[in-house]
This record gives sequence, C-alpha cells and structure tokens, in this order.
Amino acid sequence: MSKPTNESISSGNVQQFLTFVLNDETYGVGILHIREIIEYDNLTIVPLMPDFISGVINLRGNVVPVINLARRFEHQAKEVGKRTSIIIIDIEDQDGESVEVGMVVDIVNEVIELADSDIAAAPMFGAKIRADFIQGMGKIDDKLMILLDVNHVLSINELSAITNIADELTTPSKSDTL
Amino acid sequence: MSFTKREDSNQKKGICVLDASPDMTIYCAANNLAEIKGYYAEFNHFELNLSDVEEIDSSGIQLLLALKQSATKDGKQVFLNAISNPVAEVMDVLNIRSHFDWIQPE
Amino acid sequence: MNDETDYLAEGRQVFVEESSELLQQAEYILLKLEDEPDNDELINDLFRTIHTIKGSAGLFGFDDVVAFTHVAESVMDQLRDKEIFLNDDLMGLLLDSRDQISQLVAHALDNAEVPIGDSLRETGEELLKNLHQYLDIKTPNSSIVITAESELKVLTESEIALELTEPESEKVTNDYWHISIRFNRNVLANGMDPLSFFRYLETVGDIINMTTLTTDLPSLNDINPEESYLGFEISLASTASKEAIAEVFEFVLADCQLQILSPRSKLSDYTQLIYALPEENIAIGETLVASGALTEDELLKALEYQNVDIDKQTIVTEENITLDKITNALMDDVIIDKNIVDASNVDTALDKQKQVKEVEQQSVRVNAEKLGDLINLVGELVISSAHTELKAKQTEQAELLETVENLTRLVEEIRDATLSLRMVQIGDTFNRFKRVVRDLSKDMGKKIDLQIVGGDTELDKTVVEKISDPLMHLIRNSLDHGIEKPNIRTANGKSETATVKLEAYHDSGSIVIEITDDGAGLNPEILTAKAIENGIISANQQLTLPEIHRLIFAPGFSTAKEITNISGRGVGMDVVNKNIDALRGQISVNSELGEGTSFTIRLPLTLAIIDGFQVQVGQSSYVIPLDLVEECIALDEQQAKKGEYINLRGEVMPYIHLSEIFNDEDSLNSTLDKPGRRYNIVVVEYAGQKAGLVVDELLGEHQTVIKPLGKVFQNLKGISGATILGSGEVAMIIDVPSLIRRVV
Repeated sequence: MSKPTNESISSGNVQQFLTFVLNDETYGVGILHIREIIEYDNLTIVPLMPDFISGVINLRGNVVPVINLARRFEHQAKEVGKRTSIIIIDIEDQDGESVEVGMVVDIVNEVIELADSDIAAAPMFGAKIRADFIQGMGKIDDKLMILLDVNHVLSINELSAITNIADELTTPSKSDTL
Repeated sequence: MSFTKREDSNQKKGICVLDASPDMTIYCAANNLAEIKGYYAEFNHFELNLSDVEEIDSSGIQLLLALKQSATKDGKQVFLNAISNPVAEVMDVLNIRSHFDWIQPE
Repeated sequence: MNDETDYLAEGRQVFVEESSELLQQAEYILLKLEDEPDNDELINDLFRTIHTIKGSAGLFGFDDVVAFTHVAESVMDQLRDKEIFLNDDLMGLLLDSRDQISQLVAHALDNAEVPIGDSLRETGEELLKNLHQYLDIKTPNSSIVITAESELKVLTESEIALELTEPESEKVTNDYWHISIRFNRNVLANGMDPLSFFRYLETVGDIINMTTLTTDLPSLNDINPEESYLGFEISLASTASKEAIAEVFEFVLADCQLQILSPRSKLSDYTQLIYALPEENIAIGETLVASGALTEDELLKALEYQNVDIDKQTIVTEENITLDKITNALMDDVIIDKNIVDASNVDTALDKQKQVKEVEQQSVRVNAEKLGDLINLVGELVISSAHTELKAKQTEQAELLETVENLTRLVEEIRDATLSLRMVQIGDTFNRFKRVVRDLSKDMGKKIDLQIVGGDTELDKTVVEKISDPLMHLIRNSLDHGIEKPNIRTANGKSETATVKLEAYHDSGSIVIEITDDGAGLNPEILTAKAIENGIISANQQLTLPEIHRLIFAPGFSTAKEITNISGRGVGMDVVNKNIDALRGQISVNSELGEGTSFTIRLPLTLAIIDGFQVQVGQSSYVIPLDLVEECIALDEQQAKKGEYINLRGEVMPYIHLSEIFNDEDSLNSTLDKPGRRYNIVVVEYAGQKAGLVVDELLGEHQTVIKPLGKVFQNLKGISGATILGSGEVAMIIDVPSLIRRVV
C-alpha cells in the first residue's frame, strides 16, 4: 500500500477511498488514514476485553490492538477466511498522539476516487451502523456505499472506556483491600 | 626625494642632519630605507628633522625605531629635533616618544 | 541566523541541566558544611558552584540571577578568606539564598521577559539585606560592597566566559582589559596599517597604556621595510564586550595573533599569556608590569604558575574559535549583533566547562532520548536474537547452532552493557533528602540525624526519577508521624536525636531501598481503630500484625490526628504503594511499637527488559515476571477440586486458575476434556503474600522486552504489559500484584 501523493489530494475535489467488504456489505475508508494492510495472522488474544477487540499483533516490534469491525458494528462476525485482512489505521487519540489500530475486514477490494459531488451526507437513520460512524455515503454506479469515519469507529476514548465497563462486569467482585 | 642631507651638516664632527620627506609611508619605505642605510654607513651622529612629514605609518615609525635601535647597538647616535603633528600623533598613539633621544625636549 | 538561534537553545539546555546540577551540589555542600564548618575544601567547592552559576547565567543575560548570585558569592568569598565564619544564621541564610537562586533560575528559564513576581522579589530583597550585613560588617572600608546593580556592569559576559575554567584561581587587580597583539610580517604588504586599528580601538575605550615592543625589529641592514615587526601590549579601559573589542581587529584577524584578557582576569590567564607570547617570559612580564597590567607581586606569582604551562594552547585556541566565528559571520555578510556575540560566548564558555567536566569525570553527556532509542533497539535485537535461536534449533544444524549461541551471548552482553549506560547512583536522590530532613526537623522541633548508606548503588535513571517522590513521602511521613519530639524521646529512654537511615543495596537482580527510623513505631490498635472508622476493614475482622501494618497503604487511610502540611491529607501511603507498583516494585513495612518503623522497597533494576517465566493457558502464552515467581508445583485433580486453597508445606495458600480469571474458553474446555490431568501451579509472591496461579503448561524462562499495551488497554486489570516472543507472537505479561490482591 503506497501512500497517496500530494497531487492526488490536492487535485480538485477528488478523494481516494479504500473499499472493503464486511458481512457482504461494501465500505470505504479514506486513504489518508491507512498505514498498511496485512494478512490476518498471529493474533494474540487479550483476556478480559470485549469481543469487538480481537487482540493484539506484533507490527514490526510494536504491539498494536486489532478491532473486530463487525462486532464493533454489533453485527455477527464471519469466520476468519483466506481473504480476511487487517487494515492498519493511523488515528489521533484525545491527546493528539498518533496511535495505530488494526481493524479486521473480510475482503479488501480496491482504491477508488470519489468526487465531492459523489459523496452524500450521512443519513439520519436507517443505516445498519451507528450514525456517527458514517462520514458520508459514496455513490458508485448508482449504488451507495458507507464511507467510515474512523475517528469515531476507532475512538480510543470509547474503546478504552468500554474496556472499563467490560472489565468491571467480568471481574469478580473484589474483596476488601485487605 | 626622501631623506635629504642638509648642507650645514658638519662633516668634521660627523654629524648628519637629515630632513625627512613628507611621505613616510609604506609607499616610500624601500626608498627611505635605502637612503638612510646610505647615510648610516657614512655617519655616526644623526639629527632627524621630521617637521615636514605629512604622512607617516607603521612602516615609517618602524624605520625610525630600527635606525635608533641599530645606532644604540653600533654606538652611534640618533637625535630627533622637530616633529610634525602627524608624527607626534602617531608617536603618542604608540607611546614611543621615550624610545628616542631628543635635541629639544618637547 | 537559525544556526545561531539553535545554538543558543542548545546552550540554554546545557545551562538548564548544569544549573540544576550545580544548585543541587551547592545544597549538598552546604549541608555537609553544617557538619564540617571548617572544611576549606567544601567552602571552595561551594564558592565554585555558585560562581559558575553566576557565570553561566550572565551569558544568557539572566540579570536577576547574576545580581543576586553575585552578592551570595561575595559572602562565600568572605568565608573563603576567613573573614567571616559559618554559624547557624549564616547557614540558614546561605541555604535560603541557594533556594532563591534556584527560583530565579527557574523564573529566568520560564519567562525571562516577565519581571520577577513580588514575593520572589521581596524574598530576594530580604535575603540581600541579610547578606549585605555580612559584607558590611566584615569589610567596612571596602569598596567591594556596592549594590548588585553597579557591580553588574563590571561583570561583562565575556569576562565571565573566561572565568569559568578556574574560578578559584587568584585574580589580578588590574581593572583594564589587556590586549596583546602581534601582527604578521605581511600585514603592511596586505595594505593594512596596525596604527589604524589602534585609532579605531580608541572608539571602544580609552587606551590607558600602550607598549610598543621592538624586540623583533631587525637591524637596519636586515630589515625589510615593507614587513611588520612591532608588537603591542595595550591596557584598555572599556565597558565593551570582549567580542566588541575583538571586532576592532576584524579585518586583520587573519594577519595577527590577538589575545584579549578581561579586567580582573585570573592570574593564571596572564601566566598563559606570558608563555604564549613569542618574547622572553621575563621581558614580557616586565612589560606587563611597566604597563600596569600586573603588579610585581602578581608577575612573580604568575611566573610561578609554570605548571599551568601545559594549558598554553587553550587560551590561544579558545581565542581562535571566538574570532573565527566573527570572521565567518562577517564573510556571510551578516551584521554582528548581540546574538552572535552571545552565542560565541556561550560556545566558548560551555565548551570550556565541558572540557573541564570531561576531564574530571571522564564522562560524556548523552541525550536521554538517544539513549532511550538505543535501549529500544537493543530490545528489538534481543527479540530478534531469540527468534533466530528458535529457528536455528529447528534446523538442528550443529554449526549454525554454535554460531547462533555465540550471537545470543553477545546480544546478552550488549543488552547488559546498554542497560548499564542508563544506570545512575541513587546517592544524588538520597542527598536531596538531607535538606528536607534538615528543614522539616527544624520546623517540627525534632532532632534528626539522617544516615545514608549505599549511595553508590546504581539503578536505571528512569526508575530513579520515579522513585524520588515516593521516597520523599515516606521520609516526610516518618518525620511527621514516626519520630517523637525530643522530650518524649528522652522520657522514653531514647536518645534525644532520632536516626533516620536511608539504605540502598542490590539483591538478586533487584535494588532494595530501606527507610528505617527509630521512632515511635506503628501502633496496631490505632491502625485497626482507624481502619474500622474509615470502613477499610470491618470491626470483627481478625488481622495478623503484618496485615495491620499494611493497612497504612490502604486508600483513604491517614493516622495524623490533624492534617499537617508535612505529610499529606490522607492521600499518601496508598499513592506511594501505587507508584511503586507501577515500577513493578513492592513495598513492605515492618514496625515495632516504641522501637521504630522500617519500609523496604524492592525495585527492578530496569524497566525495559525483565526476566520472565513463560506459561501457557489455552491457546495463549503469558509471561510472569521471574522475580515474583517462587516455585512451580504440580497439583492433581483431587487437590484442585478441593477449593480455593492448597496446603503448601503447612502454609495455607490461595490459588486461582488463570483460565478462569482470564475467561479463557479453550483452556476451560480442555480442563473438562481431560479428566485426571495434572495441574501446574506457579507460586508467586508479592508483598509477603503468596498465591498460586494455575496454568496449563510451563514453558520456562524467557527474556522479556516489555512493550506497553497502549491506551486502548489502559483500564485493563490483571495484565501489566505485553512482550514479543521469539516466534514474533505477542504474549501478555501478568500483573501479579493485582491478581494477588484479587485472591487474598
């Protein structure tokens, strides 16, 4: 996955998106957020985490969390198949620090270009995922595709906050400190 | 053009009175030296009149100092009598009046 | 100009580090002086540190710092000359002055543009008034006692720059600049006349004395009239900076040897000058005396400093650096402004200081970040090497295995050597507490002797930084709650002066820090009552004595009857405990009522790499820090089913299945699959508590490079981090303390 060049960003109002399939639905994610795409392999489960956190992987010496996107959308997750991949996304946490997070998808498709005119606002309701996860709707050949807002989908604040709740739920009630 | 021996220089007494030319800068240094050297071989007692000197620089001062220093070493005598303002100014900057013997104390 | 700005920033950073070191040193020396008030060496050292701070601050134009420090320094100078002597008052005053300097430095670094605040200024004025008393009493006729402000003018930046090397050296009484200049032979031929520079020199100051040297002048017969043979020694009265004076000669810099000594330079500088000049030493010395630069006495002393001769080159080189900088700047057609001057000054001064330092300690200052990067890389190397070893073993090629074994050994050595780079002695941290103990004991009217043992024990700098606060808290706590007032102590048959001992030592791969006092000790009844009152334990709970003692670490526990400003407000010991936990260390407390209390902190030597014990639970590998592992035992199904405790050689020990704790379905299922299987229990111990962790398989020791898990997992309990195994897979590191807390 090569990084987009500056020309592709600045040339008019065209944006590039990587499209992928999850549960037979096609989604797009802005290419600027994407660090790389890797095979689904060697994932280590982190105990006591909610099921939308698949675990962690070793990405060149760094331990990177991997999100099960289907579960994050509160859909059923498909079995891991040959084409299951992890898209490594670069996001900023609340402190402005860059954090790498992986998300598991069924199939990675291609990079497409969408003009601003091909992007519609997110629908207020009726979508299969949370409205704030949607950055917009991309239109290709009269078909609509959800363009993800990764900052919300992978919000560190939210992921770790949920962890907290999950932890409290699964931890047996603690005895007194002593 | 440079150091001119006065006619009243007393050959007998071996006193050579020299009038320095207006230019005692690097541009005339070689010439000045050559002339002084000439007189130096001939005389043992010098009186230098520097009142016509309009321009003097380090090389000129250096020449005077060399003359005085060689004379001291060789047992000859060098006196300064009059000096012009430019010479006085330079001598004061370098604080070298005391390096010389003067005919008329300033 | 950017370079210059960077340069300043860099110099500033060095100043930040150095001044804090020096201030710490000053405090240490002062405290030591309290015990040995007649130690001249200490007084000299003290003077030197303060003097250096003043010098460096001057370079940056931190006038407030310089003005204040100067007065403090003058008092220290009086001390040095034995015109005044140390007493309690002066000691307190000097300590307060040190603090004031520290505040002023901090202020200057934070916002030099803003005038200092009222309270800081008032404190300063008060201190100055007191300091001046010492100066006034002892030198009634001296003209040295001028206000700080007027003194400032005399202290030009460059002067300070020069003073830095040997501040203790004697100074000459000459109030003028001394300039030595020897023009090269070709200067006249190059169209320049030395005279014109002297005329120009008169625009930056008054030439007090000029000596023209004719030593090199040949006889009339040998002289080349177009060459220059004269040398000049000049006394200059000027308020200009050294650079400004040097600038006078900027066009002739390449064609002369120029040396500039500032007013009241050190005698040794003159020694160096005398030796550096081409003329006979005696002759030049007499010239200097004649010109008023030196007195006869000073000349004699200067010539005695022959041993300084080895440094002959330094001053010359230094000069060249400074002047080169100016020449370069000129070549670049840049107008010389204050920045350049400052930068070059800073350069020289700091360079010199560095040189001195390096010779003293044979050490190099390395950016902590660079060191961190190196340690991370070595971490990668360790992982990679483990991976290589694993793969090599799979090939079963003897030669390859042998090579890899060698490699592994080297990698381990590199790891140890690298980690040792970040090791620092804990002594500096300990010494900092001397002041705290001194001040607090005075405030509280207690008499306390702080003993420090094992200050040379080394541990990782990152650990040192993080242990300082908890230690401070423990000491404050001990002083506040532990140590009794002198009258109570004597009434109880103890010596009036209490002892607090800080001790550090290495013990099997850990560092142990003990804080022991011979104070009142912990009263179990009060502790228990307090814990019940605060709802930490229930009234009918039976606790052993160690358990009662550990109550002080419980959140919200405070035994101070009233809140003092010395130990906290009920947040305290639990925070200490947490901090030490975060360092993967442990703290225990031991106390005897009436005899004293002792805290023992055990810390890993480093945070980056640990020895781990690898276990398997279900499909996942976990690593347990090896220093917490006591032993491994086998447990059969019958025992396992009996409940939550086993009998470990007569001791009742709780245990937990990691598979349950971590809710590992694979492992739970396999347990069901295989009746009659045996269990492995890893016995871990933390803070005197043992517990068993039931795992599926024991995989052995594993060198573990600790990787942070990141913010997503910040609220996860039971896991303290991650590590990368030889296979490249990630394994979780088990947070033993939190697990033990869960089962006990």
